[in-house]
Amino acid sequence: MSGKTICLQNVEHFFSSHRIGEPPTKVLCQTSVTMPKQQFVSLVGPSGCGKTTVLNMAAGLVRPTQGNITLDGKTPKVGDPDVGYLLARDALLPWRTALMNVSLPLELRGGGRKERESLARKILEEVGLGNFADAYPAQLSHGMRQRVAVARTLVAEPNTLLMDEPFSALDAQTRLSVQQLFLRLWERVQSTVLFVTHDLTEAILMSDRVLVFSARPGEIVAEFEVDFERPRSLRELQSSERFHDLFRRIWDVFRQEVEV
Amino acid sequence: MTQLEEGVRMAKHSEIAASPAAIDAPKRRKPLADRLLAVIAGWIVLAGVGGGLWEWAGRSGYVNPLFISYPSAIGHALLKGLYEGLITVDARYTFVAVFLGFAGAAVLGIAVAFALAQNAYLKKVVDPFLTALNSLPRVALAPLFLMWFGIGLFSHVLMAASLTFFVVLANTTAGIESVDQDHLLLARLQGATRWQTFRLFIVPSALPGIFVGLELGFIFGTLGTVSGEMIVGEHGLGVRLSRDAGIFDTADYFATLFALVVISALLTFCFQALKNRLLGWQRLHVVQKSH
Repeated sequence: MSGKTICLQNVEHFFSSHRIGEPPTKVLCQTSVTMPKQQFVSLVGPSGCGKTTVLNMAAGLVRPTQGNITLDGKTPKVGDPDVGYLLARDALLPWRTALMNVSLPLELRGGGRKERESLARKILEEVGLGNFADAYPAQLSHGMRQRVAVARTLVAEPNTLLMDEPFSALDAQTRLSVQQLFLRLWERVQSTVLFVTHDLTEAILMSDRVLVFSARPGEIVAEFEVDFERPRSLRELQSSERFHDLFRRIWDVFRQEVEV
Repeated sequence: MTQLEEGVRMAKHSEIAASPAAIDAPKRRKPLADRLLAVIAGWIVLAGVGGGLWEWAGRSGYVNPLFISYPSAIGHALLKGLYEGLITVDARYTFVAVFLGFAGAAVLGIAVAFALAQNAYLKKVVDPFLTALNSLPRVALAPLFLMWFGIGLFSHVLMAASLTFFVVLANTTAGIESVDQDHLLLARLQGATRWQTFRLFIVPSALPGIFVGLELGFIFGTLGTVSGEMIVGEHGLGVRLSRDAGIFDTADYFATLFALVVISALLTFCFQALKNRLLGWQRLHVVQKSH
């Protein structure tokens, strides 16, 4: 069991303006926060509040204008094999079968064909797509494609996961089943997860901790612990009183930011 | 049942039922367009009616056969050409030139496209010159090539190459530029090296474009060689065409055109077979989209 500790120290970020002479736009106010290892942390907030920017900083894609972000004390580096990244768009390669898409990260890292294919096959079975290993993405439904993407992210066993609204493109029914599936897989390994979403329900159902961001320029305006026991059954949890209480408490804060 | 299994079962129920692969279509009579025999019958009828009308118009003198000839005379000319081996010799000469020009220009076109894609500065510098060269009517180069290299195979090879190169270059570039930005992001996040990004992400994305370029490039290469031969040459189907026209041998003219069409069509067919083998995934895409 492992995972990295993600630490933001006085991080502040600006987007430079495209027009000459205009001042840069502030997207993120000075923020300091620590996400301990193996914690599932959701970042929620209105569009443009800088939550994806925080995620991209953790991935090493963006350097903060001010301050420091570290993973286990080190500056994040793009392409770190310990860090997995999952997007809303599945970004599967259309010319590769599901199996070959899942084994891609292993292929990029080198390693025997037999070994990587057996690992990929195993994880495809775990996401319920064992019979679709040889199907091309065009032959799969949205939900199945996103499950292939989940398998591709998990196959290299990253200890830290960065997820940018990974289930937002799915319809409600499919979303719940993929969320449940992901949670089952995650609960076994408990990597550190940084999860960006604008769906409050999703944030509460999945995570240990919810950070609410304000509208741009973003800052953390509230923080909630979600102490529901694991493993969780999302369907049960969704209809429980505890869930609704917490939802209302967070929504009271969240609503003010969305309505700004 | 463990909770994992439950999750998987739930997922299966909610999604697989909705996937096109799982739907059994009710058995119905196939539409005409999907029935091979019906399509072949249509071809025969169309060719029969068209050819019959032509034959009738030429033979009855309704249209002067000096201008349009008629199918039986053309067939006779074709057989005679084949029997005497003259069409075969000319066809071989023409297509050797097309092939040499095409192959060289295709390799060069693909290489230049990838090289320019790697270097944005070089591309900006070279682009206007390539555009200028490409807008040049290539037939106008034929006399120049003949002046430089004489009446021989090499001039006709260059005519094919001068057209193929730009077609392949343009289509390969379009293919490279069509690479999905999400795929490139994925490559970066997964730590792909430059070479891996090129080999596993960019080249497969560009392949459909490259194939379009090769297919068109071959047609344009044939155009280049034949038009070059029509201007000056010793052998070749183009030479044959201009000679036939000069002596009003319309039947042989059409026979030569027929030979050109058949050979080009056969080679295009080979390309498509190869393309379907390499790019099977693309057709899946199209099938899915048409639903």
